[in-house]
Amino acid sequence: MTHAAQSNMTNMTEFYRPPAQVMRLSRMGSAHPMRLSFLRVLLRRVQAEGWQFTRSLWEVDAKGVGRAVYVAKGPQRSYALVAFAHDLPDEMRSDRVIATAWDATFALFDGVPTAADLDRLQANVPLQEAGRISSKELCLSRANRSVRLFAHVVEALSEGRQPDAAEIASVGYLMRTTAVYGSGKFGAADRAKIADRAELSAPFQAEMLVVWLIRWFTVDIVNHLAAVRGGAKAVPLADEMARQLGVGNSTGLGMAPFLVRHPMLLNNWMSAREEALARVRSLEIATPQQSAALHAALDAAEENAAAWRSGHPGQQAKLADLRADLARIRARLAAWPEGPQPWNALWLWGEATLSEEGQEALLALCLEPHAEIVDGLADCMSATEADGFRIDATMTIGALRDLLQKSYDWALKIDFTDPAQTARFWYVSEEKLEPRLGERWSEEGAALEQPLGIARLARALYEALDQWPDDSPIAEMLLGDPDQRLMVRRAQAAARRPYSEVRDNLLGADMLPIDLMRCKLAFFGASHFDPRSDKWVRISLFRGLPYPSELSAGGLS
Amino acid sequence: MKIEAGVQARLGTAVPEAMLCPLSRSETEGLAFKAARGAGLGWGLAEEAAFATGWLAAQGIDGAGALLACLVARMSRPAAPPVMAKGRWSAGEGRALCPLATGVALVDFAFLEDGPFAAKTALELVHLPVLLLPFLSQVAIAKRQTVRIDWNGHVFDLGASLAVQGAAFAKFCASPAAGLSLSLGGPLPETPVAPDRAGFAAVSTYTLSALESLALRTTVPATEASRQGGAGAGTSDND
Repeated sequence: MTHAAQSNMTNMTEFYRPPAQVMRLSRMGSAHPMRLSFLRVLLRRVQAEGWQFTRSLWEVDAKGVGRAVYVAKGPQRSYALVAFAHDLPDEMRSDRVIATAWDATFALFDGVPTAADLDRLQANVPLQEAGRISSKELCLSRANRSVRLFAHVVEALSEGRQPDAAEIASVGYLMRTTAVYGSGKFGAADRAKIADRAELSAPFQAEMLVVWLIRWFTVDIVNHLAAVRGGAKAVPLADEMARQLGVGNSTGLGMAPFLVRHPMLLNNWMSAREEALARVRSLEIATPQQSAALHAALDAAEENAAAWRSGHPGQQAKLADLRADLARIRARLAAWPEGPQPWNALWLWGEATLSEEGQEALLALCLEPHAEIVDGLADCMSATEADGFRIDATMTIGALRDLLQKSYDWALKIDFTDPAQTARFWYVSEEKLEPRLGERWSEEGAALEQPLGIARLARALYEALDQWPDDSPIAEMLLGDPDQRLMVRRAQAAARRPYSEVRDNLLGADMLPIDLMRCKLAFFGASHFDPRSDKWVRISLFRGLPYPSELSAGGLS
Repeated sequence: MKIEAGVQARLGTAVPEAMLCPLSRSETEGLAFKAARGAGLGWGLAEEAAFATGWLAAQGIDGAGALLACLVARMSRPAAPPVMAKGRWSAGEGRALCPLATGVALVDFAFLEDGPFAAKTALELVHLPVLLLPFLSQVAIAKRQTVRIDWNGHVFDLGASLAVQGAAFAKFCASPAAGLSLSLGGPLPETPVAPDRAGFAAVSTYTLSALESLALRTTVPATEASRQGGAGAGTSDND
């Protein structure tokens, strides 16, 4: 290694944000979508590779009931969204996982389905959890209409006019998915089947493809129903209107434990993003093109923040912070770039000046002009979780204690004798087999608690170590006290993965599950985060982004 | 519980196709994880049970059926950790070793000085020896050497996955094994490609419902309050 390279590497360390800063719930709950978000990764790939998209089947009747197939053809393989459109009475419409019927149901088929495949899927996909799919399918999903906007759009189009732009903007989608299942759920192909395919190796690429193709379907179905109703009078939805429509998603607590259950994945997502930020901060100059791209990204962020609505008081306060901070950033950019390492100067100013909401928005902005040093990091965001499975049981008790003191110092500081620190417990409901959050001191069921209170597990392990001599291998402890096995495995994996743990108490009275959800959804690329409660949220995906049919013709904005 | 009867007999026997449920690996492992926890195992050991079940199913072996039998045995009499004497592991008191507890301990101790693979180690009597295989394969991968199983004059070499081992091997898998000893064999052959779903062992409807009933023990019954508040929804979705 040359001296210059070495000094360059040493200098990089100052640009990384430490896990103690990054992995706090309130900051994770301020995350914004950015270049490395999974839907952006998908869109970049399909554009770069020139994927072809066709609607190969449309068999939908006058009531809007039937089936359709959308084929995405890549350089090596094709994937097909199989859509089933239903006529759902309003009283059956529920976004909760306990629902049994939906406005539309979907599967992502691996390849191009035959008529027999379609018939098999028709017998199962509309049943969702109560049906079975096969290893030929990668995903299972369903969506409900945004009743008000859907009706308005169909009515307007059927009468030969475009829908009201304000209505479109206020809702932002015609349908919202209420689940997108992948990775072996309900009989679907396991992740292992697709993990080595370049186009699906980044996280959640199949799921993002499903949602993107659903977006196309939602426009087709309103055009179809408008044509049925209006006949010759009807007009199709204008492109500029369609562009403002994403796909909504409605999700509850079921999503919240994901990041806790997949620490390696969380680490790799966070590490990639933090590496991207560090690379940008380390740059010596900002070129005029980069500066222009930053201003364009700021314009888009302000437009997005202006259109972002939420009825949730907490989110309203965050939105006020965001809008004020975007204005501060705009003011700061008036005298920018200047001096050495202008990106780092901007970043340090932001850390000293902006709210967490504003800082995380600035992060997304700073990555935007830097495709060449950021985009390749998307290849580092998946995880082979089996790699961290085998415990190194030769580690001594003393070494494990040191490890816990170093990696779990945040957890060991929490006073678990305070009832407020264990006020909640995570459990799985017998009725729907879905994660729930209970109140420990007033509800039954804490004996069946899920192992998501990592801080308290770390503390319990730390205390258990006192029963064993410092120089004995942890194999001895695991033999006598096998209940420590989960936390030992986790701690060893965390020691090598600094961003793998949420550094907050997930059992605490003041913990907000929506913070976990916002972080995950931001990595998906979700916008317009709109909590309906502390445990339930609606978001929008692909809003403002191109449709499959546009991609081969034009570029990505 | 009505699980005990006939579980052993089902191991390794052919089940009519109509009674088989082809689960994905993630479903198989998820079910095994929850069932193991429902049967009283710690979360970390339940993770090992899930790994073992998924590994066996990927080799075309009914891991779920074996796990069920193991859990049932543990529920009727809690498993004690193996008693480790140099060159000989036993359960003590004339009992059979639990393959999960033993398998996990074999992996944990494999890299310690004087560990079980430092020299030949006899396992006195092992219940459901088939459940040892996933753990022995972990040892083989980590040691980059095959694990040699000596059983009543038969020798099986185990690597990262299971090569076809013949009738004696099937017999070894299907019944409690006495006279079993372990040692390291030759260098590990190249890892074969994981089989597709076609070779993945399905779960019998019997095993499925028994494991599901164990899994249900990890869940909390709903109350009206939890139904309304638990997922945080509750408002109308007709907007």
